[in-house]
Amino acid sequence: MMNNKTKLIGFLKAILKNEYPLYMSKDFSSRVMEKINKPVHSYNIFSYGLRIASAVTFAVVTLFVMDNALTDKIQYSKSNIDQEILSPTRNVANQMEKCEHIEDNAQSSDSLECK
Amino acid sequence: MQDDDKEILDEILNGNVSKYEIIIHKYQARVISLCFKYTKSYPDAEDVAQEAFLKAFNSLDKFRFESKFYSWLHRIAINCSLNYINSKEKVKEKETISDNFGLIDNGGEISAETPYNVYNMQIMAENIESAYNTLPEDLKLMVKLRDIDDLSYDEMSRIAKLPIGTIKSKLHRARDILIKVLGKYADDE
Repeated sequence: MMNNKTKLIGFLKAILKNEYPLYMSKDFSSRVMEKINKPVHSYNIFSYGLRIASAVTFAVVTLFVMDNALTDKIQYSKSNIDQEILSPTRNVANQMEKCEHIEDNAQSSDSLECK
Repeated sequence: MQDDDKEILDEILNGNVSKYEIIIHKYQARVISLCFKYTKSYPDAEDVAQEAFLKAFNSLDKFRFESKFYSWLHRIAINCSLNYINSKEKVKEKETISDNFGLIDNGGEISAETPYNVYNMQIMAENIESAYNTLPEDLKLMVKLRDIDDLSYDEMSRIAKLPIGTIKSKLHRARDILIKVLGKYADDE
């Protein structure tokens, strides 16, 4: 009853101010109230759990892809690359020695004697 | 500035959501009329007005009572109407691109609804106008000052040089006469 009187006063004001539509749905206010009373989101434990599970799954898949597909396959040596060469090759001397006694006209030879 | 709606709005803010229907009843006709100026279609105007009322409800806690509630609602309705126009222009652009001219704009016509679920405000307005014109001059003045010019009772009292009690009484009598006329055309309940 109170609502009906408010509505009629609303109509009256709109008409007197010449601010009224020619037509208006009778159920306009109830449609708006229906929307207001309807909950916008229904969050529950299941939906939260589902969100967390989705995030974890996404993270695992992303890590797997990055680890396997996006990097080049590198074969690592099991030995230490700083390992000392124990047996020198034929033309390589491991130590610098004095060669002052070597004569310039000496016959070239594969074997140098720098002692 | 004292807002006539403050009491109801406080109740709504305190959790009595159902009171918002009073606000809707009070302003629905004016808001729909405002939206129609932009949409040029009554069903669309109602959709936009509905959005405006929902936005106002959802932002009610931000309303600081520095202006009248209707002024605030009015601004929200204009923003919603402008958004509607922008979105409609985008749809039109898409239709032009796809050469699809299937959009039917029914303008001010009302198509989907029957006369049983709509108020014919034009008939109401014609009857109110004639009832208003037959009111005694003192009652007519009260209606004019309060409902057309939106004056407070204090201001009305100063202009009419009458006590506030008499002002309220005369306004009540005038409104009763006009509401009886309206009631014949708005008896949907």
